[in-house]
Amino acid sequence: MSRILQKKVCLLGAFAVGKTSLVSRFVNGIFSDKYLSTMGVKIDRKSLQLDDVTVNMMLWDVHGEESVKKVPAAYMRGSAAYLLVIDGTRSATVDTARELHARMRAEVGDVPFVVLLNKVDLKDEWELSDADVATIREEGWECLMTSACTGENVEAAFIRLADQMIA
Amino acid sequence: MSDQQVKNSDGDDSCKQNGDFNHLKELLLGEESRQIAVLEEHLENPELHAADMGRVLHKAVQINQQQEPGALADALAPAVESSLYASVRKDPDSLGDALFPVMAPAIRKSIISIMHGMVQSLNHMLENSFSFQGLKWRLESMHTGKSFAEIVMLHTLAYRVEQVFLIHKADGLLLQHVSFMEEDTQNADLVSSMLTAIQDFVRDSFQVEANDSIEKLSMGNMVVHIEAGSKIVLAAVVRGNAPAEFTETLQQRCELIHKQMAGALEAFDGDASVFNAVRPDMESCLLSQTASTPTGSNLKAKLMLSALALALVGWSVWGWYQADREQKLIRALDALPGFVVIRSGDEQGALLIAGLRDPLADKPDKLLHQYGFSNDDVRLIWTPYQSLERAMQIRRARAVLKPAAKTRLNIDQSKLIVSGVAQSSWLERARALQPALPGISEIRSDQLVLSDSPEYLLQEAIKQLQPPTTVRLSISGETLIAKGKAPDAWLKKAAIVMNIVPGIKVYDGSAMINMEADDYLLAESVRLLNPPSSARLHVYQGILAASGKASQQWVERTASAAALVPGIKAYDDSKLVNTQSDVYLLSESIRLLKPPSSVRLTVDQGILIATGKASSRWVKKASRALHIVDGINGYDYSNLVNTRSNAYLLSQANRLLKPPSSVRLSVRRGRLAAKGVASTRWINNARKRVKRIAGIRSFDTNELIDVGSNAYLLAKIKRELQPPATVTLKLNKRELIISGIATTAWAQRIGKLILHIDGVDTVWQQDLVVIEKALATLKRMLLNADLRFVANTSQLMDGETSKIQRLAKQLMKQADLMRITQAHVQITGYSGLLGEQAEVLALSRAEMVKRELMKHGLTSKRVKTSGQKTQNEGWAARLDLVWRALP
Repeated sequence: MSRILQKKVCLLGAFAVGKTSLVSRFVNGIFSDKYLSTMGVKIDRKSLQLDDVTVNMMLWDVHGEESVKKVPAAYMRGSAAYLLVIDGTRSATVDTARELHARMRAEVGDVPFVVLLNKVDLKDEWELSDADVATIREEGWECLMTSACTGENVEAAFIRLADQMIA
Repeated sequence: MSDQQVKNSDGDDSCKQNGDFNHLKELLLGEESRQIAVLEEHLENPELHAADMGRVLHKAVQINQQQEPGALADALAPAVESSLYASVRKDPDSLGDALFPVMAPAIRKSIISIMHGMVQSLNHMLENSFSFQGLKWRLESMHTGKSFAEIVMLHTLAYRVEQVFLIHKADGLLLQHVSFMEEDTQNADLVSSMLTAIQDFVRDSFQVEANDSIEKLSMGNMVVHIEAGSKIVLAAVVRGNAPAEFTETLQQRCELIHKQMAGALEAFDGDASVFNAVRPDMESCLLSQTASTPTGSNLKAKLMLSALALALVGWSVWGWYQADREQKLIRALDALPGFVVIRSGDEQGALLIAGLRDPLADKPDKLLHQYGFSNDDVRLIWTPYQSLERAMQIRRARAVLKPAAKTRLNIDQSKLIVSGVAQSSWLERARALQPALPGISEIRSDQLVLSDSPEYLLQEAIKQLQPPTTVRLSISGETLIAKGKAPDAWLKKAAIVMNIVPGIKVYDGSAMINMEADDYLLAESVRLLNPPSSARLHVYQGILAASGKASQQWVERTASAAALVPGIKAYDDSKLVNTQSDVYLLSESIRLLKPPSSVRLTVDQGILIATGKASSRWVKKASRALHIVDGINGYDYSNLVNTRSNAYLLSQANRLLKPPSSVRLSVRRGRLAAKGVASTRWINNARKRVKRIAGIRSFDTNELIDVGSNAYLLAKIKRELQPPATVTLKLNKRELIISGIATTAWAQRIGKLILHIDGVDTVWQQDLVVIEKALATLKRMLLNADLRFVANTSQLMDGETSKIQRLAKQLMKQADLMRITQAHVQITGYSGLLGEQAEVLALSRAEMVKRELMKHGLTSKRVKTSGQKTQNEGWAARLDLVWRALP
């Protein structure tokens, strides 16, 4: 018997790593290179059909983490899974992701998450070396190289997260 | 007693038996018995029993809850209720303290909600109190007996709960959603999440307490009521004004759902299907209330009544207008002279007017039309009478007296005042007829002018004849006498005055002067124009003619003034000579100056202009023209050629000699001079021709260069060779002699040029000194001349002095060359001595040579000395020539 599940999924990461672009690519299939900073939170829905389960992902596109404007715990609360987004062209975003990961753990416990190394289309400009990526993977983080611009691995990342949620 | 005994005996026996039994029991069940006793003790002793129960009670409750959920709660409820009741009665504070953390927020929330409801209704009441709507509702309140506030609420509480969301509080996921319209459900999950996000956002942004949350979002007339429980949030979207009770309803539903779905909420994993169970509860929140609107059922009746009222108003206005028109007509008729309205009324739909009318009065038809009545609308009944109104009296007097048009009648009380003009016969007749006029007691005629009186006749004559100011009229009996002067036309008109003015029988114009007669006009012209004695005036048939001579000023003034003399028709000045006219002045100039035939004279605006050729003598005379000819203001002789003037002579010379462009001629005081270059032939011709020019006394050819002459050729060669100032060129019979000092460069340049000079056969340049060459020769000579001295002295050896003399002679030959090139002789003395004396000796030797050279004419400027010591003996002074480099 088919089931419909609703899940709150948070997108977390430093500012301008491409969270909103990833959601836009995943939900609407479009990409704009115009940068619009997200204020507060923007919510979108995407339904995924996995076998006999329909997962309605409520995507909480939270504003980027900044030193002066932290992501409030209230947005994290109740998340069934989350995506940590890292901008490959800025290595500092890895540290931000680590901090957010720690706070998320404290708030919602051990829930599934996937790490997105975004902007793979700009690989030439990457600050992250393969060694850095390997280090991140060694921490047990599941990493996917994504690009909201080309759409590479975007759908795969969300499907992977949904799989983990219903497992 | 026996029973006792029996019992006792039995007792003894049984005691014995019991003792055994007990012993047996003791033996068999001793341990168990003690345990039973202990158990008994625990069961019987309440303290021990309570302690036992206490140890297991919580477990027992747990088991009970699992096996029979709610049974224990049901059982406990009465006891708990009564114990709480008892506790409150005993000491309300302790329970109050315990419940305070729970109750306080709940109470606060409730109070806020109630207050908000009150404010809301108060607002509505105030808003509607003073409007038309408000008044209507006030009436309704009086009519129905309900309170005003109640009525206001009834009308204003129109609202509809459109959607209700049940939201999982922790993650904002939608648990259930009910809606008025099906299409709203599509994005309900997004709305649900967003509502939660907004809650979080606001809470995060504004530093509120942990349990506080948004209770209401309002946009325009739409309000979202949000009721937050511990696990769920119930949000209702309401359009319009929901009553205050609605919040309570929402609260109750929230609590109910909490209670019902506690388990499901606990186990919620994202599957919301279990919450379908609470749909009915939520749907019961979809309340709505419509505000009643007035119906249009009595519209027809209203329309009819309005039409009726309108007709009634129209009819009364028309009636009033008609009556007003009739009254106005009657008043106007009554006010008309010769009319008296006695009664009026309605007769068979027509207006009846009856009264008195003077037969002399105007007909009333015009007035009827003026007020919009036709003759059919009005019936008029008039009885004739004689009116004594002023207007009617005048009318009657006119009818009886029949005055002339110029005679005016007026009434002043009972007097008839006659004014204007009338004949005395008419006045007499009027006085006779006066008694026949009713209401007239007398006739007054002080303002009447009798048409047969002398004053009237004179006045009429003046009026009709319009005499000019130069004429004076008077009346004597029936005769009009005119004196003064007047134009012919007026005189003719005055002669027939008898026909124009009745009453005048004779005209006497014997004393009149005709202003158009010729002798009168002549006298006037002379008086006004004042001609000079040289001019004469004549008048014939009004035409003025002038003859003789007169100044231009008088001629011009008269030409315009003559026409202004009264009576003069035309002016003829053809026979008048203007002594300032150009024609007159020209003839006078020719007569007095007697110009030669080669001179032509003209006069333009008083300026004498002479053209042509004249001798200086005549020109001199002509320049005094201002004194000789009267009326000449100036002269212009610029075009007059003086046959002795330089310019004239020069032009003649140019014309006759025709000099080539290389020759320029000039004339001064009869001397002709030629400058420039010309052929020998032209020069010879010119010398002959110049004698034919009258006024040229001599011909100067000193500055004229003959192309065939040596000088011309030399000048040409100089131009070509451009020799420096130090070089002299001479030409001697086709032989060019070049002498002086020149540089090698120049000498080389001319070397080629001189081979091809026209007019030169040979070139002699032996006397040309070429600077570099000459100086080099001198230098060589000096360098070869080593001078010797006596050892260790500055005394020259024998024979050396004469050597120096020869050298000096050679140098002096080229003194100019040395000056031009600023050359000097450098003398260096030498000595073979050791020590300091060596240089001194060397220098004194050089000075010795210098002195010798200067003896023979060289200046000290051209000699420089220096001393040097050397080991090398053999000579003691050396000479050299040094010059500045040539450009």
